[in-house]
Amino acid sequence: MAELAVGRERKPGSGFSQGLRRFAENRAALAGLIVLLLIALMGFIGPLVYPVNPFAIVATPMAPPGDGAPLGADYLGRDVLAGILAGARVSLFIGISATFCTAIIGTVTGSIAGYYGGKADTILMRITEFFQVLPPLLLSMVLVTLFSPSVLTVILSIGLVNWIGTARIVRAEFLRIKGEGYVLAERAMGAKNGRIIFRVILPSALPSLIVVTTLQIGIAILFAAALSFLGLTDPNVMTWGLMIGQSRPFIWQTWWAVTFPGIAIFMTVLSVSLIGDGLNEALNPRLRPR
Amino acid sequence: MREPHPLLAVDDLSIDMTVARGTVRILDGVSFSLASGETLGVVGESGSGKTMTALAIMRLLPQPSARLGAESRILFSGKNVLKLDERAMRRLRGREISMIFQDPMTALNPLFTVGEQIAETVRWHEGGTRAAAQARAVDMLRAVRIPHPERAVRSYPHQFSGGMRQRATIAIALACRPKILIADEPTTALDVTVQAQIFDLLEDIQEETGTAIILISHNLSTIARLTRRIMVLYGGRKVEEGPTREIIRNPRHPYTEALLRCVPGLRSEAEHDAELPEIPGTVPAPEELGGGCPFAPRCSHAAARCRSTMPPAAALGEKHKVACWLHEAAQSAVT
Repeated sequence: MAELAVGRERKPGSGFSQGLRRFAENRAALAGLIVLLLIALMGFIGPLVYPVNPFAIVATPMAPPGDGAPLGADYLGRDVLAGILAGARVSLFIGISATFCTAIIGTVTGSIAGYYGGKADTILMRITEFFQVLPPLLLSMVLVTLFSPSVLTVILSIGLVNWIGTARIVRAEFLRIKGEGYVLAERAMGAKNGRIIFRVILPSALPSLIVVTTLQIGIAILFAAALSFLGLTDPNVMTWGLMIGQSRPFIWQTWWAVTFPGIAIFMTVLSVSLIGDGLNEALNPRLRPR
Repeated sequence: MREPHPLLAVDDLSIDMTVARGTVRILDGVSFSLASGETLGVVGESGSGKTMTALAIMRLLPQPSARLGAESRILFSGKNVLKLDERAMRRLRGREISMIFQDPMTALNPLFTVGEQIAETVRWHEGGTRAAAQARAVDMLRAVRIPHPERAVRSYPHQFSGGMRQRATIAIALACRPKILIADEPTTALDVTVQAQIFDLLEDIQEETGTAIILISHNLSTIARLTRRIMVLYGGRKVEEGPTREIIRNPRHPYTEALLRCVPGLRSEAEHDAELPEIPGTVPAPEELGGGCPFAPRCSHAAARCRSTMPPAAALGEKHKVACWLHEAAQSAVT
């Protein structure tokens, strides 16, 4: 009984729920989360509230904000607000899907390299370094051009060039956790490798994985914007990057057609980064009070 | 009491370890056996090879830096454990031979409840339903005398104190009723009052279940209380082995003798007021060992021969063995 009382000094609940509580106390992260939710809401409900085809010519070409279109029209007379609403959904979809790819590739590579070590580690890390020295934007441009631009190829190409960071962090986490006493204890109880990887080490590595993955979403959205700015995108899908790219020659005449999509990109990436940093502070075991 | 097969027979166990400066032999020709239901004490200073012996039995030596000597054999119920494939080995670990570790603070997975950790071990070794495994978890926690076991199964390790965590690791280790429990310095990380409780617990469990225990410690007095038989390791070699009482009363190896003089509780009344002696020098690093007796540099009886040649084991009486040139006369009796 006395021992139990000593044990109760700690706050109840798992490390994860404590982490969520710390996240909720972080104002910047919370603001980021709210802005991101608003952008997502805008992307999914916006087109219903404001049903304008982003490709349709609905206003006078180069109409300034308020004159026929709330945020103005571009050089063809297409509604900028409609484009931003349509682009929100696409940007988030590409960002999250591409990040999903990076998380899968990175986790598999990092786990195998970190857990098995030795030759597997050497080979996988050399491959990782090969991708690391290639300029990622250039590589994904090459990949998209090679397989003809579409939403799918954009997602895969971004996923394929951005997994290095995830792989390195997962590997480092595996190396750290592999040495923990409970991993040896589990093995002494007859656990097999698969069990140790999936049930013991990966759950412990999850906080770091969540943080790096969240930050990756912002990078993926920027990549998608850069690719579509360069025209390497499906021309039938409206994206923020495409809007900026197409209106770029008219930047002095229609600043609104470039600035508003730019603000949209900025706000999205900023809010994702704030969430990522907030998660890092809340979940990173190295920053966690003991 | 000789069985056809002792429960565990370790025969000529040697381990080579690759370190930065090359390969060193950290364990050299250690042999011992363990009968079912017996408690064997393994005593030695840090670096004497105690933990490596335990990890070798579990086949959990650090890979790829540690390698077993070619002549090493570890027989569990007559089967050579070192020849088993990894699958068979996994069935052995936790089910036939379990191990608990020095630091209970790190030996439990912080992400799962204590109950889940016991229940999982039971389920992967024995199958059965989730409910049955959960019930076993409660029983095990009760067996290791954790208060309110029904509530404790749902607790996370960080809600437990050090003593309770070590009880929980014992509960996990014993959940599948193994025949051997290897306890590697189970109380070193705990405070003294809790240490006594854990030892009482191990003693009771042994009486109730008949699990054989290999108790590893650097503390002779704790070992003396719990065991009938002791093996003393020094510098990777077995220097003395015999019944606990005999070794405590009449240590034959100069190292054991010196070690005993350093334990206050085990000294005679006359010595009680004198200053507590220490053994001069430090444990040699494995790479510093030559061909001779590892204790020679610190031994007050050391002769030239001690430094050049390792003394073979000499039998003194039926069960008492010692590896020291001082007892050369008895050596002819050894096979």
